Amino acid sequence: MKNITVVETEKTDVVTPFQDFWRKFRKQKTAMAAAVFFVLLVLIAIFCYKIAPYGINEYDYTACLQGPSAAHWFGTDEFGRDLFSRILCGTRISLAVAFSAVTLAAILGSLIGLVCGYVGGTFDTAIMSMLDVLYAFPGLILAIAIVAILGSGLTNVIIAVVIFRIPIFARVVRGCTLQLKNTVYVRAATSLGASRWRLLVKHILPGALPSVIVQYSLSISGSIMTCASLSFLGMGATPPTPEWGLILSNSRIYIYTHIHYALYPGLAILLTVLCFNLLGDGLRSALDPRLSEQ
Amino acid sequence: MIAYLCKRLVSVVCTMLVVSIVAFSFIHLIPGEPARLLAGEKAPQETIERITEKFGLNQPLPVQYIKWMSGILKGDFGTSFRTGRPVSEEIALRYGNTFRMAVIALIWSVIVGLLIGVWSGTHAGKWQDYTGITVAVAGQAVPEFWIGLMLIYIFSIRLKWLPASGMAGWKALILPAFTLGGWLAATVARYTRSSMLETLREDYTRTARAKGLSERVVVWKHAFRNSMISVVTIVGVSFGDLLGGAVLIETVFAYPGLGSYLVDSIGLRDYAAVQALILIISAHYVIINLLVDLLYAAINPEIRLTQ
Amino acid sequence: MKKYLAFLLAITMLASLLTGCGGDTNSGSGSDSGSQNEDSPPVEMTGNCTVPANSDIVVINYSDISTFFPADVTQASEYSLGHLAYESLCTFDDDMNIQYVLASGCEVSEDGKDYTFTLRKGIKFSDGEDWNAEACKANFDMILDESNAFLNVWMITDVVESCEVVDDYTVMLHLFDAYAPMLNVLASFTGFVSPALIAKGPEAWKNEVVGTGQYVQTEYRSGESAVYTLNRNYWGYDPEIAGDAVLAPDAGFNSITVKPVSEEATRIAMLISGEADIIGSVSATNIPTLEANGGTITKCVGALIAYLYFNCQKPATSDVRVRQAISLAIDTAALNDVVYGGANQVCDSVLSPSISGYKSSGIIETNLEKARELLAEAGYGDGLTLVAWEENDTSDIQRGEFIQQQLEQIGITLQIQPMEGGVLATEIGGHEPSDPNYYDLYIRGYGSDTYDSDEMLGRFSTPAWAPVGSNYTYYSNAEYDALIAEAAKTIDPDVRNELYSQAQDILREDMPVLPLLVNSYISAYGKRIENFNYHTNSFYNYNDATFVG
Repeated sequence: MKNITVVETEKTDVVTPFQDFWRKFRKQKTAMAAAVFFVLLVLIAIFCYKIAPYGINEYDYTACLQGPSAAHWFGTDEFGRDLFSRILCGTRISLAVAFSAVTLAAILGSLIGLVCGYVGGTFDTAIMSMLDVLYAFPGLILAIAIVAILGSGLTNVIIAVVIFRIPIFARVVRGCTLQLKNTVYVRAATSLGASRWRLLVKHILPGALPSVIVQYSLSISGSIMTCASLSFLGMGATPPTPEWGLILSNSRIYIYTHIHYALYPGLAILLTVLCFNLLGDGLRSALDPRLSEQ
Repeated sequence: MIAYLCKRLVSVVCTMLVVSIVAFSFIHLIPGEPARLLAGEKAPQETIERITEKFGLNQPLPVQYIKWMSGILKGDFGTSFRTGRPVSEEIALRYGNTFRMAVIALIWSVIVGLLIGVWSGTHAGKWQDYTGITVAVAGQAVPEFWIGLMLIYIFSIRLKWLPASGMAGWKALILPAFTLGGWLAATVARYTRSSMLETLREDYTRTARAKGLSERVVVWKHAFRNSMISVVTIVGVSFGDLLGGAVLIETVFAYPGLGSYLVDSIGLRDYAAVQALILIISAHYVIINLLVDLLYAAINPEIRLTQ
Repeated sequence: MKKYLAFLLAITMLASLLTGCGGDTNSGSGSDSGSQNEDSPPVEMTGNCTVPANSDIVVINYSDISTFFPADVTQASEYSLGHLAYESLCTFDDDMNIQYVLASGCEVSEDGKDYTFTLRKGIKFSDGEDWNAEACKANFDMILDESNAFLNVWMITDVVESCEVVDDYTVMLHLFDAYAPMLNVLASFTGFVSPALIAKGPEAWKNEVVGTGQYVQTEYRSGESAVYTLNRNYWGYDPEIAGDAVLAPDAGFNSITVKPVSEEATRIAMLISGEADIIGSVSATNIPTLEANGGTITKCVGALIAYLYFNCQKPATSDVRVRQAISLAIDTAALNDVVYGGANQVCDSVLSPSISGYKSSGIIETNLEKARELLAEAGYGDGLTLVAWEENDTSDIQRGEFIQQQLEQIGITLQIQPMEGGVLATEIGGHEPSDPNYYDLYIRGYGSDTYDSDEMLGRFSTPAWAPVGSNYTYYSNAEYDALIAEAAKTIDPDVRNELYSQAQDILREDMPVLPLLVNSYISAYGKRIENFNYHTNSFYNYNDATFVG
């Protein structure tokens, strides 16, 4: 009997949440452009080693530090390696680091936020104030500190990003959980005897999802920047990894004579970060009009 | 309000205590012996052991922590291994440099950000709005260490208008402060714009217009003032990010400030310096967050009750 | 209400920031006037010194200066600054022979264990204290006092037992054992401080600079700048005191302001704009830019050599054939061209030519075929994977990448682990040599302080295994060890050189270490200075240069 009523309401819902989202998202031209660019980035990340005209470590001592040309679109570096190929393949590194770190942080952070928000009380206070301590450090300084302990290298950069992104997701999800806990339908489900776990996963989590998705997209751009910044400071990727921040860092002593070397990796970071920022804004508008600022 | 204030102050003290433990354990967790780094790789083991003893680094960690904390309560932040001078002196000098850069960055970015935001917000949907929003969105995505290099290339190397180093008078501050403030300016512009749009739709602005007030008065007296609240929040929260961003900017512009001092001190395992720096930077963050919270509580009594 | 509150808060925040800023700006402007030296004391034309009063120059260093106290100085940049204000008993002349400074002569006892120094008369410290036997003894007593835990006096404390005052201007050093390069050790020491400063204790040692040198430190801002002002009454200008070592009356500059700037691009911009007169650590790639913009380049081949150390206790690299194969595969001339723009020098010995005892063993010709044969003989014809450690400094990494590319040609996969300097310093010597997690190869530069073979060849002997000494190869050869021990006690230079010649032959044969390149120091100077160059020991020579305004 109970079930029937539920099914009926779902049937009357002609527009699924996704369709609704897509309709709103499609209307935003910049977000759509960003989405197209995002697909392009993912394709590059997947096929970069196939489409790159040169190998990333293919050196040519007769063609060191050449400016952009037909043979080398972005010029070459101090070993005569093709910068276009290196920057292209750097896409995979940046995206892989950012996505793996943010996904992990989103999962862990959401779990913590869900449980804290639902359980409440001393447990909540204790966990959240522990996470708040992480807020007492500016993001990059926290990342530097973590990498200093763990040592440089991309794996450790990922760990650092995870650690300082967790509180952000935890806060967002906890806030949503607190709100949803007292809504009519969650109370109804509780009184119908739904298990706690089912309640969290089936009822509360979907409610928090839009905020998590928006935060996810914005965190990706932040993480790409953090990874590049750490590598720039010599604390991230190790050579000869074609990480953008690392290429930029190596280009510094050639800035007087070979500006192309510094120009392109920076542009790559700029465009990628821009893409994820715009995507995040678009998602926010489409998923949660209240949060929208556009 | 006073009860709320006391509660918040207690929590600030607790946070700082935890931060001090984090700062202390952080630097001791980093692999690397300070004595070895100080004396160089040629120095024999015997010398290293003697230096370790001199700095008290062979004592148990809790003892070292308590010594450090009791020193701080007496106003003594410890002695830099590297220079043998009090850390507070070393920091004071660099603090001034970073602070000067951060404040100039803050001022220009707030002014420019507000102007762009208001301009965009009052021309919603027109080309002015698109220009403003494009600049702001791009500004948020620019890697500051890269734009710093590009500015050095354009203004110091090609045009030779501005010095590339941070320590040659006021002109030298232009590029670092500009680079540092870029992100904040973009962020302020976006917040201002959206809050302008919101306010201009509100009833009381419509009323103001209906009363026959000029558009300028409506915009600046009503809408703009209202947007200031969100701007103050974002500026407060971002000041800590400015200190963090200073790490990169100071590296690019070879500027002797807190950020580059922190990176150098971590590299040299100058324990006292790193501990003090982390403590000070976090204190800034915590205090500014406290101010923002208090401001909110003053505005909205509900917050006092719920927390 | 809330709008006003917010506004008020914004204003007060800004106001408080501004007032804070105001105070800092005032103190900051001090450094600017310091660099211009507007407040330097009026020039008294006493003595013979005729250095122009407006010759105030700015020198940009790569690294920061953290200490000035001679017993604690460890960085090259600190040494070179230390020599402006401090002097030792002797120094190196430009042919790397010993030249007396605060001493005027020295006699060595028959058994080589007692050194009697005659001190130069008429020298004063910058605080007015006299330089004499008591002052000298006070310095040695301080150095030899182990409780002071100085960073960099171990080369003296390892050798010197005590210092004895013979008369007002004569001191005798008693050594534990005969040690031939004793004077080299003293020449590499930064210098002697005023006895009044010694009496003030450790707190003052870190903050005050009181020596006998040509310059007096007049200002220091940590991380920003140090100003050295000429001491016009410096004894070196007075022929009666200095004798043959007397300086030209116009040698030197009125003041030298030293600033640390870690970014090369910034250093170059500063030289071109005239903010700096001399900049150090220039890469070859930027030489044309500097020359096109009115800079002049000066170079010095120093005693810093980049080495590839083979860990002789690891399975593959314990085989001399593998070590030889790698040595034959690396084209050091190409390394020099690609990574260093041809500025450095290819090695023909484990020593650089400026080191006493140096003998050319000939440059190793690259021979890939022979290298592959040797590897196959050693049983690694199907490939070999080795782990190399290095520091994660940009140019070190480039060097490592190049070597990686070269070894690929003979089927060796080099896994490079660049490490942060602090971690590396602890890890090196922190393992059993044969630990599987330890390096097979270690690529690192090593600079000589004493310019003597005992330091540079002795470090490949068994007693010097890291971490006790700096034998990173863990090479052990009884014959070699005996040669080193004997040479250290041999006073006769010809006999010593013969012993070291044999030692170098053994190293070339056994190849525990491959010297890659001798580092060149490259600096540039601007239009206000002429004829600026380096001393052979890679310190700046401010005394031969002229200021042209």
